[in-house]
Amino acid sequence: MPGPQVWQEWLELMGKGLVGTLQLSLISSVLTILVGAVLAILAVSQFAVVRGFTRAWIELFRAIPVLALMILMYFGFGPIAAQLGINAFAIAVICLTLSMSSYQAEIFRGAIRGVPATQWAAASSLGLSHGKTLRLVIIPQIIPPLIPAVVNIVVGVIKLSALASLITVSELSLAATQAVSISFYPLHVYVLLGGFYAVLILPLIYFSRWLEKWTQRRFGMVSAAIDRSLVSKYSDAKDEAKLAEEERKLV
Amino acid sequence: MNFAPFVSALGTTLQVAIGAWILSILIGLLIAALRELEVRAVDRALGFLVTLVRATPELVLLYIVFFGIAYVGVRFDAIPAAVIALGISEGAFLSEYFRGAILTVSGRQRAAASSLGMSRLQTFRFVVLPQAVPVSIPPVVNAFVGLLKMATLAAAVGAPELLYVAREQMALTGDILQIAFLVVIVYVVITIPLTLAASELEHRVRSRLVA
Repeated sequence: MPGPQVWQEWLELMGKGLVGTLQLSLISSVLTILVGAVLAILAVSQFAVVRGFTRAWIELFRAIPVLALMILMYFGFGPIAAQLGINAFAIAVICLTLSMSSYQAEIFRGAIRGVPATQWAAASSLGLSHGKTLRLVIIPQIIPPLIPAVVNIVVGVIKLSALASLITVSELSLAATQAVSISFYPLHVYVLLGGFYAVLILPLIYFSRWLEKWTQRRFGMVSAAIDRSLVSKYSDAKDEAKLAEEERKLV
Repeated sequence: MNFAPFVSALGTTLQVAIGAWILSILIGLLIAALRELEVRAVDRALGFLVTLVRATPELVLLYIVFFGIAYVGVRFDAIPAAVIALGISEGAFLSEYFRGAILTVSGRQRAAASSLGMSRLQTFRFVVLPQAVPVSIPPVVNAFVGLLKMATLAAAVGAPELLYVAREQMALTGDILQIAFLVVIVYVVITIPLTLAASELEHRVRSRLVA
């Protein structure tokens, strides 16, 4: 068992790493949410060309593994990128955003499509344009039930941010690898690393589960329009079944 | 460009993905079955464990399996370590999908089966399972797509999968653009048809459920 001094050394290293992980996750999450929302709106555009291009973009970046994006960019184009002032951290942010925003766009697009077509027809018969229908009719309904999905996206970003260590971004996982190399206790250090991520992510998962129930109670009918499988990645199957049952009663 | 290294690299990627896929299905089924027994303590403990694994980055699980367990004397090679770590991770997700699939069969149907004199096992075999299996197929296909992509992580412990070889070849030949393009094409060609198939399957299962 490593002594208290060794533990303290690890905690100091990983404390610094934690700052890196938080910065990376925060910036990437904000960008992901923004870009994902824009992509979703473009994906339901009234112009077939815009729709087609956006869909292709979303499918492409959902198909490429994040780590592949990172490594190809960093090891392939790193020297060129460095001349443009793009360092490993920026590459990690770009890759996480490209990948996760496409997932998010697909979730948002599913939610938009979940709103019954009759509402589009009603809005257009009232003389609302495509943009106004989205802004005034569709989007306000889907925001509350999508909040838990957004929390799950943040969870995904934090989990994937660990991969940035493989392109030398200074964050938690890289700090752990350094801690292993200065004192050879891989099991202790990597379990501690898992603990760090658990402390970051578990509250978010439980928060998202609570949000799911809360939004359904608060916005019942509206939430019922959303496909459960879109938001349920980190939720409990039994809770999901209960929510679905309640929704069936509402509809 | 010499394609030979990429072909064997794709083999490694598939090996990791398929191995982890089989393991994850087994783990998922086992956890779902154990939780179906409705022993409260077991259910609670497994529930927390599943959530904990889902909260852990796959890379961390891989490091624990590859470097951590080696420390206590059990040494896995890179490929088996990746199979185990990714299998455990995906298994945790799948167990919830399996439980969800079982729960789509309503309590009323179970009550009806038991009023016909069916035992719990018979109810499960003849009423629940035939309905739960089709519902679980799309998430199982999606799990494979996810694992194909997650198999890239094996590069982190030195398994010669696609990305590892791509990086090596980039350094060796300098054909950066071609190699990057090739890797992207391989993932696109494999994952997009599977993703589309999964969503088509899901669509069909849904429309059957509603009917």
